[in-house]
Amino acid sequence: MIDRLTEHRGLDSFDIRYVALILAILGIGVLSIYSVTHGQKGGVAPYYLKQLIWIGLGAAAFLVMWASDYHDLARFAYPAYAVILLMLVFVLFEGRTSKGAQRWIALGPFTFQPSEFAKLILILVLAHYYSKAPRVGWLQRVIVPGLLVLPGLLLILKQPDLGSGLSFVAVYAAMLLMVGVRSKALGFILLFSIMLFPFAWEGVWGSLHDYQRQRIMAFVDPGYDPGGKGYHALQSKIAIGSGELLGKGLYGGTQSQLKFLPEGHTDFVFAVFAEEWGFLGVLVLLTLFVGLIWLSLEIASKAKDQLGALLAVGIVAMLCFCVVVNIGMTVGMFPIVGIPLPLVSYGGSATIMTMAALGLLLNVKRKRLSLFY
Amino acid sequence: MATVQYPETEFGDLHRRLFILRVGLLLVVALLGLRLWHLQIREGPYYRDLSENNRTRLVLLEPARGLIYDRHGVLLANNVPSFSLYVTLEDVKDREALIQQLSSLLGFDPTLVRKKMTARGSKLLPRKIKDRMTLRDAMLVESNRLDMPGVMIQVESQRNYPGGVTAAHLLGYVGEISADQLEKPEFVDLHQGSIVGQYGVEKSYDRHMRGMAGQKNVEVDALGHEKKAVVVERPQAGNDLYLTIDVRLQKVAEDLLGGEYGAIVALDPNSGDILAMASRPGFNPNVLSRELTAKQWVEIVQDEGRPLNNRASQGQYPPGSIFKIPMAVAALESKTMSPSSTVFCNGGYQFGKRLYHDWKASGHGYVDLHNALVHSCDVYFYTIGQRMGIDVMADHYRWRVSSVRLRTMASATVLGWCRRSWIERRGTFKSYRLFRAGRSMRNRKPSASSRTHSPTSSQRERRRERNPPWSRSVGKRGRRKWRRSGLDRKRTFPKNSETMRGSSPLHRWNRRRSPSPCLRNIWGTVGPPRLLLRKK
Repeated sequence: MIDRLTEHRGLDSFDIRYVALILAILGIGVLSIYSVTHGQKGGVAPYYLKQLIWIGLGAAAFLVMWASDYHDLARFAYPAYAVILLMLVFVLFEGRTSKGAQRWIALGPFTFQPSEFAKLILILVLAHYYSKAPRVGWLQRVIVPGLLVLPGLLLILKQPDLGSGLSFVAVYAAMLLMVGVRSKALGFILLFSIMLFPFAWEGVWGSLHDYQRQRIMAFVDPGYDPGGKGYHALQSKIAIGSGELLGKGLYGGTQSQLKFLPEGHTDFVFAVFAEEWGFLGVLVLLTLFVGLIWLSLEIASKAKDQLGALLAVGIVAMLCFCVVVNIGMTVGMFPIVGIPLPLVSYGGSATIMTMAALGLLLNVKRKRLSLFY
Repeated sequence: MATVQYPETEFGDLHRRLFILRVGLLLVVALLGLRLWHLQIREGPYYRDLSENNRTRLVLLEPARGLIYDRHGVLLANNVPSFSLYVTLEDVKDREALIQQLSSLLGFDPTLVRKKMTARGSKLLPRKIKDRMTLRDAMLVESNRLDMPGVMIQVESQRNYPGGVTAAHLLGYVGEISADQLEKPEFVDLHQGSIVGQYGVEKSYDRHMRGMAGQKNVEVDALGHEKKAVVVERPQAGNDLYLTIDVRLQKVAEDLLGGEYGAIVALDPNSGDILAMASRPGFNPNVLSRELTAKQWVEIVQDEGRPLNNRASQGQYPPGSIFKIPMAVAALESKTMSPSSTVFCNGGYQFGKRLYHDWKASGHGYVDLHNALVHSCDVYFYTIGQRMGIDVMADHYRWRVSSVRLRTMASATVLGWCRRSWIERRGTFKSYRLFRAGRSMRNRKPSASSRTHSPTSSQRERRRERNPPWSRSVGKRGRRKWRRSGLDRKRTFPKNSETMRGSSPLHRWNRRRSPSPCLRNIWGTVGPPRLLLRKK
């Protein structure tokens, strides 16, 4: 690995701004997790320590991804997808259940969430598919990749994990738009989806789990039943709103410290941060995220080939989607779906996967600079 | 890897598309920023108000635990309201002043209160300073509440056993759910701090007595005062429990034991109900249901007499020797033996092909009746049983035992030594079985079927095997058939007892047919007398 680093002038590509942004966001995450959970026990070790371990593993994944070659990785896209599909099937039967969803595989004391890794592998698969040959025509552009996405999507929705399922769709849509769909075709898709909406509504609404329906109801009318279904959304809004300009300071968040706000260290970590650091803190965090995405888009536009560009676009799309939907749901703009805030929320699989994806992104940049390709 | 060239018009304008993506991203982030500005700056004070003055939270309403009564409806366990004092440190301005106030008002020990207040834990959550306060103290605190912010009186339901130590082992006690129990599936709807039965019937019938917790939506202000409470779901009280115990008899039994270590069990021979089950030394469940200090707990656990053990159900006492007393009486009355005649015990008795050992391998030597009872010599009673013969034995047991009728506690004492498992698998409790036999003979009325043709014992045996009585209450036809057979008035028991398994000579003896017509009727209903394997 070392000679590959030197050979490819790898260290030049190790963009210090990029890494600094990632570290800053990770730091904010650990701080918030520490703040929410410092009073409670998290099993073997406190949550923030465990998160630090995940970050360490994530850093390893980041370096591996960065040091490898994304062309090699893309070659293993299909087998990897097959493996992850098998894991998703395994999860359906043997998975660890938590809060009504069966998403985790138990690995000794830790659990592992294959749907997180499925996202990254899906990006690889789609990028590989589009860059291997010029995919022309309606069938090759839309239908075939759609069929590729479908099994993974269905398996994830079955768990149920609406959040990961939606990110699947988002990645697919972003890739499709990047590759380009004729405006006529786009029009057709839109028209069809509008026409099919009533039927789809029946099917979708009927197949939603009770809690998902209630979340949507609570989103439409957050005021109703503040103690029950709208509780989460309302408490999250109260937490964020009460932060005002400067926030209540570290450990000062009454909403999260008094456990009014559940899931303060995972999906709603943004609300905790907003409560304790106020609008200014939120602006800093948003700026960091925008900076990271901006740099990633830079990498995408300067990528050396289609594979690189598509990989970069897919990763950026996933990142954007997660950030926007997570923050959107905590501020009450979207219904609540279980999507963690990348690099900030507590969670082993998500942290490792996001850092690996970012490593891959940097790899795309490194290859652009390499002389010997 | 070959680079694929997309037609210029389609993929070439990646940059244009990325530009659109960037604009879209900025728009969305701007939207989020606007929303956050709206929430935090424009409506910030409103939400701060909400978070500080109007916190809503869900409070669990603990259900009332079911009461326990004895067979005549005498209350054995109930719930009494108890007042606990909680302090939320976050709301306390001057800690020392509060401690002074509390100790002058209620006479609390200032050092103890200070210790509890400075103990580790969250400042934001209320902590218990004192429980089981008197009504007067609670009222005093309530009337001075405005001077003492952060102080709160909580009414909690406390398990109370009016009888104190009476039937302590039987009733058991309750306690806060432990971390291990929380993980078990039967406690899945409970939470930290729930009260569950930890011993005795409180534990074994916990599921029925527990009830269902309700929920209350409470709006509290920053000082922790409840502003408004809406009951979302009412708690459901647990079911009451009626025991077969007669508490008067239980008291008599416990008084009889006095300071001795031991146990007394009294059964109703007509139904098998346990009327009294006493074990000494005992404990006070009122003490154990409270929070114990570590010292108190160690004291109880390390007590010589092991007061927490229920000797009636957990003590290991082989039941076979009880029957030596009726055997001795029968032998004397039938003049098989005189009190002074002796039997030589060499540690075993040869019966058929098998040697039945005495509990003392070296034997007791020559023993007379007195010594045989004192040392509980097995061989002596094997011998006199063989000398008497089965007919004499059965004859005596029949009318003698039925006339004893457990009239006094003394006889209950004699007959009461048994392990709980033996009572539960009632069929194996031999002396009890014979009591039943005697009674069923006496009360027997000739039924229609027995007048027309009297089935032989083997026929009955077979019919019973086909249609075991314990399954017979199922279905109308089955019940009618069961009634016609005349067996419904007598209780018979499953033959899954330990004595029936296996094929050793002892088991074969237990399964043998009736040798004499006079026993046929008894055996037809309850089976032949059985020898019990002694457990050493």
